[in-house]
Amino acid sequence: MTCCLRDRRRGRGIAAPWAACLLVSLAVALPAAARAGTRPRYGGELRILLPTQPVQPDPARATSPADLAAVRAMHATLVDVDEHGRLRPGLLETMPEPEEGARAWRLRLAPALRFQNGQPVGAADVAASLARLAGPASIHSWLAAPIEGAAAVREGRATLLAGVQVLSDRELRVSLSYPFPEFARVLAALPSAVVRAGPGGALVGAGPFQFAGRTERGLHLAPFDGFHGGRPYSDGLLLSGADARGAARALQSGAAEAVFRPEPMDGGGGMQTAPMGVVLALVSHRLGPAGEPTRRALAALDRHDLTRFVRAPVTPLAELLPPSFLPGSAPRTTSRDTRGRASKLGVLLPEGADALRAAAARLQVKLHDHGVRVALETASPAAFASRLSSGDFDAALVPVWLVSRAPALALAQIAAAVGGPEHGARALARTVAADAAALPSVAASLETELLAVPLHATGLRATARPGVEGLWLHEDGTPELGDVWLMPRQEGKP
Amino acid sequence: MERAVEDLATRATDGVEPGKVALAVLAPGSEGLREPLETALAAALARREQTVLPLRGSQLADAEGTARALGADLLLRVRASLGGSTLVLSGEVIPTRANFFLQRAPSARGAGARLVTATAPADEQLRALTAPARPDVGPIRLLPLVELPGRALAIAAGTTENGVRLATVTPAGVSLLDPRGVQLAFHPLPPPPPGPRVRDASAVISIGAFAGGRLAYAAAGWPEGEILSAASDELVHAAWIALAPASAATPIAAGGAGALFGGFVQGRGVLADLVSAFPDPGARPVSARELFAAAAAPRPGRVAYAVLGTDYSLRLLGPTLAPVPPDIPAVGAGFALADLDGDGEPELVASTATPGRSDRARVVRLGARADVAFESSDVEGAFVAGAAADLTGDGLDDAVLAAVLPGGGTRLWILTSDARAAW
Repeated sequence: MTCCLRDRRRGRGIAAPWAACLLVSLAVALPAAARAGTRPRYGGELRILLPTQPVQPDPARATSPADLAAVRAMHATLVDVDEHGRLRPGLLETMPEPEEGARAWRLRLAPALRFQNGQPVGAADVAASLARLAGPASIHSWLAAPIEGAAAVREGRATLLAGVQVLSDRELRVSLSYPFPEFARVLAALPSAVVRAGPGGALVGAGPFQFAGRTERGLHLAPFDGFHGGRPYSDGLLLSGADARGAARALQSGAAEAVFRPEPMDGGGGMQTAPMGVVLALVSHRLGPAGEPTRRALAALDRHDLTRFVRAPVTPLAELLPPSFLPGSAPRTTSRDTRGRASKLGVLLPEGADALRAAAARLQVKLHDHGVRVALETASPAAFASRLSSGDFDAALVPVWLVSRAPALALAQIAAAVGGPEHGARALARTVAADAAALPSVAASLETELLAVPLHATGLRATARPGVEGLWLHEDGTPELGDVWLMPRQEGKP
Repeated sequence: MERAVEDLATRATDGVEPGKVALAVLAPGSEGLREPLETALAAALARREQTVLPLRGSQLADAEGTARALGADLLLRVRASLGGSTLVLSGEVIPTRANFFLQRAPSARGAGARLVTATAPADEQLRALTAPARPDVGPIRLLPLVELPGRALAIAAGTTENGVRLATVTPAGVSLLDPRGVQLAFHPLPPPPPGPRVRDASAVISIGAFAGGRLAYAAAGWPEGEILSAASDELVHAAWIALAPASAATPIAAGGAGALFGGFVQGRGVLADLVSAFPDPGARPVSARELFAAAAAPRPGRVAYAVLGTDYSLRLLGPTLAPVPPDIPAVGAGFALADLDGDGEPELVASTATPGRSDRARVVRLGARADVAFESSDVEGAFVAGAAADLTGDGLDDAVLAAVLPGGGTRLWILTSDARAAW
C-alpha cells in the first residue's frame, strides 16, 4: 500500500511505503516543508471547510474536530506544543516549575498579555478558567481533576478550586491531589485555554483570531493584533462546515482555501492528522448478563474488515489507544466464549459521521454472520449524549476526538466520554500513577469496566488549494491557522 | 581625474628644476586606469617643463634602477586606488641623479625622497576606467560561502575601516563577517520588549548608513534600532535609533547613492510603502502596499535602489528615488543590486518567489526588457536576504545571498563573475 504526498513546489508525486507515510502523519511533520520558502505575506481571507459547522467554540465544551478547530483559532493555552511535539511556554513566561515532587506547580504569566477585548490577562483569569474547566458545565472536567478541590467544583459544591492560589497579578501556584509530572500536558490541552466571560456570558479569548460574527456561511473571525504569538497573516477567517462533495467543489473552484475532512480530495497538497478520533463499541449495562458475552462478540470481530469502507485515514484498534499513542499491548486473558450474547442488538450512533456510519454498516453485516441481528439507530448529538449518559441503549458506537496525545490524558478522556466525569477523574488518577509499561494493562482493565470494545481510530485529511502556505497541524489534529498565508493569485487562476 | 593629476604634478615638481622625470604608474586592481593616468600625468609634467620618461612592463619591477640607467633626475612613482567614491593618487618623488658621494653604491637612494598625494571625487568615467575590461569578466557562478547558526533575517555588505565586511542579523544578534564568511564579532540583540511578538521575525541591516563603516540594524517589534561601530572588527554600541512605526526612521539599505530609510508596519515584519533618502520620522506611507525589503546598489547607475513588495513585485528606483519602470515580477525575498559585469549598471540578483525546500538565484539585466543572464541550479533552502559589495577584490560587485535551510541554520552563497574566486 502506498500513499502519495505532493511536492507542492515541483508538482511531483512521491510514492512512499504506507508505513513511512504513517510515520509522517503521526509526527504531523509537514510544516517544515510548508513553512520553508520565501517570506510569508499578510492579507487575504482564509475560508476553511470543516466536517461540520463549528457551533461550540467554548474550550470547556468543544468535542468535535470542527469545534476544536474554532477553539484553536480563538483561544490560547498556557503551554503550547510546537510542530515538533515539544512543549514550550504559551501564555506563560517560562515552562511551569514543579514543586513538592510535582504535587504543586508554579505558573508565571508572560507580561503585557491581553484578551481580545483589550483587558489584561492575569493570574486570576487563569484561576477562573481552571475552575470553569473543572465545573459541572464542562465536558472536560476530567482534565482538571488532579487539582485539589476539583471534585467539589465538579459537583457544584464550590466555585473556586481550593488548590489554585493566586500569588500576584502574573503568578499562581496550583496544588494537585497527587504528583503529576506531566501536568504541563494538561495546560497544553485546548480545553484548558484561558478565557474570560464577557457580558451575557460570551467568552473572550486570547487566541490569534477573535469573533467577528456568525452568518449562514459560518463563523467569521478577525485577526487579533494583541495575540502573544503575533498577529495572524490573514485579514479574516471563515470556518464553515461542508460535506465531501461540497468541499471538493469549493476547493476546486477556489471558493475555499483549505478543507479538513476525512476523505481524500483531488488537487493541492495533503497532510493528515494523527488518529485522534477513537471509535468504541459500547455495550450497555442494561443488557445484564448478556452484556459481557455481547462485548466479547464485538471484540472478536476483525477490525480491519470493519473499516474496509471507511474513507478516512483509519487505524484498526486492538487496544483503547492507537499504537502510536501507547506502544505495546496488555496480555489478554479474556474468554472468547460468546455464549449468552444478545441475539438482537440495537446499535446507537450519532448523526453526521460518515465514517462511523460506514463502520456501523459493516459491523451490522459481520454480527449477522455471528447470529446477532443488528438494528442501527442514529440520534442527534444531543440526544445521543443524553441516551448514552442515561444508559438508554443496547450498544452504541461512541466517537471520542482526543484532545491530547499524552496516553494518560487520552485514556482518561475516553473513560470520561463513556462513563462520565467521575469515571474520567478516577481513570486519570490511575493512569498518572501507572508507569509507562503498566499503561496498556490499565487500558485493558478500563475496557472491561466500561464494557467497551475499541474498534478503530480515524484522522482527518487537510487539503489546501495551491498558493496556500504555512499550514501545519497541532498534535491534537487542529490546524494552526494563524501561520497560514496566501501567495498572490495569478491572473486567470482561481 | 584631471584635478587630481594637476595637483599631484604641481606637488611633485614643487622646487624641482626642469629636467628628466621617469614616470612609473601603478593601478593595482584597476588596470584600466593605468594608461590614461600615465598619459595625463605625462602631459601635466611636460607643461611644467619636465621631460618625461614613462616606465612600463618589466621596467616597473626595478623602477629606480631603470630611472638611473636612463639618466633621469627624478623618479615619480604613482600608485592609484579607488577608495569608495574617491580617487587617491599617492606619489613618491625619488631623486635618481648620479650622486658623487654614492658612486660606489649605485643602488643606494639619495637624500630628498618625499611623498605627495592628491585626491578627487571619482566620477562615472573614472569608475568605468577602474573596472576591468569586459573581456576579463568571467562566467557568473554561485558558490557556497559559509554556514551560520540560526535563521538569517537580513544581511548587509559594505566597507568598514578594515575593508569589505558582511553583517547578518539573526534572532540572536548581529554577526560581523569577513568577505569569506569568517565571523569576526557578534553583538546580541537586546531582550524582546513585553507584549505581542511579531509572527514573521524580520530585520533590516545596512553598512555605512550612519557615517562610514558603521552598521545600523533594526528588528521588527523592537522599539529601537541600534548603530554599531565596527572599528577594529569589533561590534560596539554607538547609539540607539528610535523607531516610530511606519515612519522613515530606520535605515533599510545603503549603497553608492547613499542610504535609504523606511519603517516597519506596526506589529508586522514587513516595511511600510515609504522610502526616504534621509531619516524622516514625520514621513508617512504613500500607500497600503507592504514591502519585504530594500536593496541599494554599491555602484549605482540608472538604477540605484530597489524595493520588493509583498506581492513579490520589485520596484526599481533611481538615485533620486524616482521609479525606473518597469517593475520586475516574481522576485523572491533574497535579492540584491550588483554590477557584476562592470558596465556601470547594476544587475538584479534575485531568488524565486515560489515557496519550497529549494531555491534558485537568477541574474537579470535591467533594461527596457529584463533579460535573465544567469540562473543557478537548485540549492537547498530558501533565499531570504541578499546584499552586494566587491567581496573578491576584483573591482566588480559580487552578491551574497542568505539561504535559510529546512533544518534551521543559514548558508551564505556568493554570486560572482570573478574567475579567480574559489570558495
